[in-house]
Amino acid sequence: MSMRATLTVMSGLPNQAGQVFSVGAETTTLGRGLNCDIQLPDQSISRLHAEVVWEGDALFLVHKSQVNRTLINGEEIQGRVPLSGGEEIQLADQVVLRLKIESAEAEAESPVTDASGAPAPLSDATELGSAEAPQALESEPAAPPPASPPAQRPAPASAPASAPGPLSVSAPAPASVPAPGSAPAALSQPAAPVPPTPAVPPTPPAEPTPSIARPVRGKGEVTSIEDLLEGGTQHHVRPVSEDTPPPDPSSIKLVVIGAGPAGIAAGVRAAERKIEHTLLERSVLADTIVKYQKGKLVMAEPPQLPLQADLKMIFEEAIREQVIEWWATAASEAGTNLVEATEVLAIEGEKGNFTINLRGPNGAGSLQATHIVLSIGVQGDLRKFGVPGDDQPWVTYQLDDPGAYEDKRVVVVGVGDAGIENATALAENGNEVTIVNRRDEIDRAKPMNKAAIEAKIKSGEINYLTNASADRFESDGAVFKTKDGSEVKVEADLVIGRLGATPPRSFLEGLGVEFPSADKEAIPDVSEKYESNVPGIYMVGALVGYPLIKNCMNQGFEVVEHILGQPVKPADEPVIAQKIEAIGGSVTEMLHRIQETVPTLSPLTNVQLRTLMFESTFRVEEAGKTIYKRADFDNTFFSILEGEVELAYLDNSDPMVPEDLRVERKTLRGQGQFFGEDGLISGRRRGETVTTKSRCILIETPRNTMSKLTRSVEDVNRVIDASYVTSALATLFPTLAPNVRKRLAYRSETLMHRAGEVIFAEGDEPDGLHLVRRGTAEVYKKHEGVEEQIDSIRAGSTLGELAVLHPGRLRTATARAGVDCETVLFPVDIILQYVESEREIREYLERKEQEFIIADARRQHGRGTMMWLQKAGGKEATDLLMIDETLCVRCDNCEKACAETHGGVSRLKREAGATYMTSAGSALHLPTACQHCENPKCMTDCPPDALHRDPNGEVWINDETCIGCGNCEAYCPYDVIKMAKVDNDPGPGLLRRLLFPKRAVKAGDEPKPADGDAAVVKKAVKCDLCRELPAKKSGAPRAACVASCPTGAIVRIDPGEYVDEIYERQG
Amino acid sequence: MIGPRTFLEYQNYRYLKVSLVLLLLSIGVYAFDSPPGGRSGSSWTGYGLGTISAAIIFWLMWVGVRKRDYRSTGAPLKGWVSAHVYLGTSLLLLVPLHSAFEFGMNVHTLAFALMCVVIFSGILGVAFYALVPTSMTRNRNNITLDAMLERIAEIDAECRIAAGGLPDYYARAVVTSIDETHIGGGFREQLSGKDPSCGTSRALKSLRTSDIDLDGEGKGQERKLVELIARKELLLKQIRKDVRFKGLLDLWLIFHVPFAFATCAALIVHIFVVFWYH
Repeated sequence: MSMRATLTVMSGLPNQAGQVFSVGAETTTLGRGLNCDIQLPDQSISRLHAEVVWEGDALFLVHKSQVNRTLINGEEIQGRVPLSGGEEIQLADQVVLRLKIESAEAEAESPVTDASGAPAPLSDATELGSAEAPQALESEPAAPPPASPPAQRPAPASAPASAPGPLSVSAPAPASVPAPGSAPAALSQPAAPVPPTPAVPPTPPAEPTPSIARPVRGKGEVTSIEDLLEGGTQHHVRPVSEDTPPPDPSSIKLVVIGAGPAGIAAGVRAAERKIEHTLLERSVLADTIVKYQKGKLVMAEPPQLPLQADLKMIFEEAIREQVIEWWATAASEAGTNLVEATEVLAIEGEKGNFTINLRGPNGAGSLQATHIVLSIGVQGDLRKFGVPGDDQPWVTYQLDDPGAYEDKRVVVVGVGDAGIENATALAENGNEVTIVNRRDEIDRAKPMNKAAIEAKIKSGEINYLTNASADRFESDGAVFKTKDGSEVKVEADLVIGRLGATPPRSFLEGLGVEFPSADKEAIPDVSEKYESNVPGIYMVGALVGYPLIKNCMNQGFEVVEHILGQPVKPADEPVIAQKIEAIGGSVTEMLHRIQETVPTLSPLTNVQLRTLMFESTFRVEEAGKTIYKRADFDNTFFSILEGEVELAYLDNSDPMVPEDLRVERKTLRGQGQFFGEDGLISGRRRGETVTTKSRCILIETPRNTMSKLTRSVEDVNRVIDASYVTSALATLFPTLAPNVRKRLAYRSETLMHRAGEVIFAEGDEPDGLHLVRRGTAEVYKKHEGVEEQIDSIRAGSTLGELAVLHPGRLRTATARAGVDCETVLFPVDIILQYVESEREIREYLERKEQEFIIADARRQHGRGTMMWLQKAGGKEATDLLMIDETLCVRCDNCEKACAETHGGVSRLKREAGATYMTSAGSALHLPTACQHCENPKCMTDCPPDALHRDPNGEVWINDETCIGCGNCEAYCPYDVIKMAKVDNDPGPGLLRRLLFPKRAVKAGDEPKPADGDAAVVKKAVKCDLCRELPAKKSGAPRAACVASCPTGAIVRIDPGEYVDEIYERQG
Repeated sequence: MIGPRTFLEYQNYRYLKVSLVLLLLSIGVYAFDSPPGGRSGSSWTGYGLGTISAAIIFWLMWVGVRKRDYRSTGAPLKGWVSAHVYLGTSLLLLVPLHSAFEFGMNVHTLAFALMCVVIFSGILGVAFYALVPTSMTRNRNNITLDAMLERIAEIDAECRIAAGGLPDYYARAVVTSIDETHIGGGFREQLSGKDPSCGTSRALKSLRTSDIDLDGEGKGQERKLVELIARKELLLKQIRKDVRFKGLLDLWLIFHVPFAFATCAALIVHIFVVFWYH
């Protein structure tokens, strides 16, 4: 074969972005299945999705999946299609691979793994050798003696050399670096030297893995679990602004794109500095805030962050109108050259000589610039129809005020939340509304919106057109083409296209801006001077991860100073300085110290690291201090800057042993390492107690900050993931040799399952042992032909043990993701191998089998109750409010108690929610109230970080910092968060209430404030387990609803414990 | 039973035990007591038992305050209710022991009689609390009252549309169903769970007995209308039953609370009279 081909993962697989697979064999299979040559672990992909087939020098793509589609350059294909190279192959909805075909001569230079063989030689032997290579392999015959001394390690990894690896179990910290080849005694030694031979395959030759295509490992990339754990991460190339002499201000032509807070600040500063500049805005100044409702309060978060003192632009907490006025005044007083209603079409050229092509109200044009500042935010461009006639004035993409239309014929295209909200508002205002759906189901809207629109469609209030897309616009209406090819004309006075938005990523990538990962949440990287990897293009504000207004304004100011070559101290400097006061040194010194000492954090950009420092707490703790306890519910992440801590966790290998009799096992972590990662990943209670062994300096980072980082910085994510797997294995198999654990961890892969998706099915060939890492998996078994749930497996436990214990046995049950769930899969081949050789693994699996048989028998009782509880929403609850309706006398004292302890607004709706009559005669009812989920979705995106989780598990909203944005309300799948006026006045005393009773108000029902009444800010409210009331003696929260029930019908339960109680009482 | 344990079982029947011990002690003291002049409310034993009973009564009244003290950090309300029930019931024996079973046509016996009304209404309440909630849940059948009312509003809207193409006779029936259907009403109506003059029942009857000849499409419309109104009637029955249950749960309180205050007043008079005139 004189030609060769590679496939590169372009998008859709965040953990594999950029990986290159070789298409060497005659037939290379692509799919999710483990036996595929190119295995793509995405649930939307079929097990065998497609094949790439060579016939001589010709290459063909064969679509194999029965269910999911395959596209080439956006065109769906069927059967067999010839390939010429350069195509983008899309599998199912999101995974895109790019095909490259080249002559075989190039092969030698390309560091590519052949799909049918072991990894090809790596291009940079020395680099790799000096990073940490797999020590687990030292016991393997293939590993040659190590040669490179530890001193050759790259700088960031040098710190942990004096500390034990996170894997060491009960091992004292070795005082010095051991001699080369001293494994396995030194297996827990992070700095143990490594075999330099780059050609060593990551798996021993004995393992039957050759059919699995392995990712290519390029320069500096990690090669093993040890590498990951001990800091051998690859740092993607950070944009660095070169220290050039300050440019002549008169030569600068600055163009700032986007007049939000960052853009205006840059414009104002540029005008002040008298440099030639233009501030471009596609809409109007402060467009986002202009779109707020009238009188909305704009919050100034975080309170401790000051604005740059020299910035001549006012901002503090105020109503929308005031803020807009301040900023407009600031821009005009400074003499900012603002150009509104002008869209940027393209940017060409390079630093010092950019050409920006524009389209404004007077047509197209262009603009020259030496420097460009992008402050375009993250909302992106609204998608347009792009069909003939869409330039007519009544074809729009936004609806600012539904009240402005009456008795009009309106067509809303798109059934996302925006489209539905527009359509319902317009219909309620007496317009004749038609809503158009491109498909036949409304599946992208919030359940509430979906229900609302369906009701209106059913009652005939809104006309509904399905499977139709806009074809053209005529003078009096829109023509749609339906799926079957026919045309439907809808007469209209107004057409609103709600077609979603294109994120700015593709625009940025078109400019050459690089993103650190394929994850859709990834943010582009900038230097400490806000310069991107494209010289001359600077980026500030929400675009680079700063959604808060004050941050944006400061950056707008700072970026202009940086362009001028003026020294400027970031505005957060004093805040961070105060945080590190007890440690000493300047902020910059601390920044460098962290970069040098903590390998996990070293891949962060300076700006990211500063944010982390700003949001973290620096703790100096003497020896013997307990940092957190096992079963605590907090989930901050700790990095060790100095000192050593001891982690004590329970030996959970035998679930039959009661918790209080389990043996405690200990491990140490030292400088440069981290702990608390399982809270970060699983959101579960702490699994270990952590105590300082010496004086420690710890960086405690909130979970939110850390998860944002793991989403955008792939390396941090990988290190933490790998550490999680090995620690989880250590609690399951405490006496297993560390190298076996590491091998297992190395061969593992993380799979994501969306809620309801099958992880494996009864009768399937087993793929391996799953460890639930996040969320809950449900196990179902067929009883007399009917599938019934028999178990639910929570994070930290394993799944699918039976089929891997007995070779040749098929799956005996079906596992599904209860909620969005992640499992770590240990492939069947390696598990089977260790079942033979490792007594501990075999015994664990045998115990699990026994447990399963006993549990299955017991579960015949109370099964119905459990299934209902799971279905009704108890899946991820840590604290479930439940009413036994056979005892509930409907007095609503619970709601009254809730309202009285929460400023008159009840956070609980007694009547709403599901009820289940048990066979034992109880009527269990789950009222609508916060269940304090294991992985609280409400906490996903809280801009001011006002959602917190306490050690006892309660999730609460700080109404001081809540800005009322409503994100948490939208994220909550159980509809328990409401926006309401928060009133912290405890209200009249008991006597007054007794004499003058007042009716309780339910959340959402309180009187609406008059339009424009700025004094009333609605904030998010929900059950906070009455955190203001003193806790009970047992430490449990004192919930007023429970304490105020006259008959004891209402209880708070831990669903897990409750299910056990059901069995005990019934079985 | 799965689920929470009832207030009667609170702390393993703690207050049942306390009440029984109190009663046994009182009976013992009473039995062994032979004061000069014979047993009476005015003996030291009588005074003692009277003081205890009065204290219990005032404490029982305090439940009304505790119920509204939502920030209380003491025992949960169900504990209070448990004690309330057992100690309250024990008064049925404690008070006669106090008066040495002397009754007459006077303010003292009036206080006792009022107390008995309170206690028996309370026992009725406990009985209703035990029986009604389950029936209520079954009747609701996983639908909230609000949802039922919403569904009725939807049916009304659908009826208007369905009657649109039909003769006026049908429109009149729909209007009757919409305008002359009432839920709730006075206490008696609520407790009966029925409304003999319900507009919807009348509308349904008139639709079923209609002899208007309709064409094919009209017939379909008519059938749809009958179905809608029949469904509405079912929902109304369900709602009225729910209202009835709610009424039953509140019924005993109508006696319990006012009579409790009356008992207190009579008790104060009783104490005043005893000490003033003796």
